[in-house]
Amino acid sequence: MRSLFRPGDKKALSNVIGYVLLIAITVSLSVMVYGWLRFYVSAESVDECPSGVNIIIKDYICERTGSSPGYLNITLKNKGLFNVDGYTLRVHIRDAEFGIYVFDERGSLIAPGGEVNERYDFNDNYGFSQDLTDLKLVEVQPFMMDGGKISCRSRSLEKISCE
Amino acid sequence: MKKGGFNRRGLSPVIASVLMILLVLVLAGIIFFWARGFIGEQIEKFGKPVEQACSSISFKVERVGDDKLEILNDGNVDIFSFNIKMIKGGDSETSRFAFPVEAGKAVENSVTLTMEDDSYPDEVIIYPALVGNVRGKSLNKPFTCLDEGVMI
Repeated sequence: MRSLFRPGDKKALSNVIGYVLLIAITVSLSVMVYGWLRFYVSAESVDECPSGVNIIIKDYICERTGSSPGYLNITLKNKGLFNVDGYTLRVHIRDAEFGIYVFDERGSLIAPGGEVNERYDFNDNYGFSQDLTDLKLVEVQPFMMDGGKISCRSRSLEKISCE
Repeated sequence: MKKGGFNRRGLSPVIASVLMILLVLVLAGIIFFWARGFIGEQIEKFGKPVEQACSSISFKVERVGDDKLEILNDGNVDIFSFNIKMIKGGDSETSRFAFPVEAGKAVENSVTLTMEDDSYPDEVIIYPALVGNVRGKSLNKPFTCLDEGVMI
């Protein structure tokens, strides 16, 4: 009688192919997931200002005198905890929520507790076609330098009138 | 009587192992390149997914009259353009405010804020759009940050 069990006749090829396919799928999937996740999981985020940066508009003088176009004289104070490397000063000629005409995009360094006074003459007009002598709003936004200019979210606005 | 087990011919274990490893690697590569076609193109900005740059956007919008917008970009990411979505009832239309605003700068310009039938929308939402690189290609593509919309 033929033996029903003949170890020599057993074919083992299908198991090998199974293992090979399993390993191949596992390896390729793991490489894909790694490459995809590496792009999304990043240790660095876009640079931001630290919280605790605060600049205020302490005082201003805005004059439109006689024949001369006039000027804006502004005093800023750093009431925050960090050095501010500069500031962007924007103005508007109507009662708005933010300034859109940039008078100064460099400013100057202000240490905590320090003040700075700057004068902006209207005769320059700062490259704008509009008449910027009758200002209604001035806005100051500090920035820090860390490889590039990083503008801080804290801003200071003041409604002004030019006499 | 021959004992078949001892006379069977086959590969040596070393060659078999090498062949199996090679086969695994080739199959892994085939499956990888086949499956890669199912993944949508990824857009990156500053070397990171563009969605991360979207979360760093900060801008202010003010409507002036019926046909003008003033936009201030007070963040650190240059905005390529804006998409304006106007909603009225169950209908919505989209137009473009195709003026880039660099970080720290502002822009004012005319824009159409009426529907196609000249009626006024109930809601107007403005979305910033960034331009990024398509990963793996030298191609720039705009990406609208749908999570950063501002209602005006």
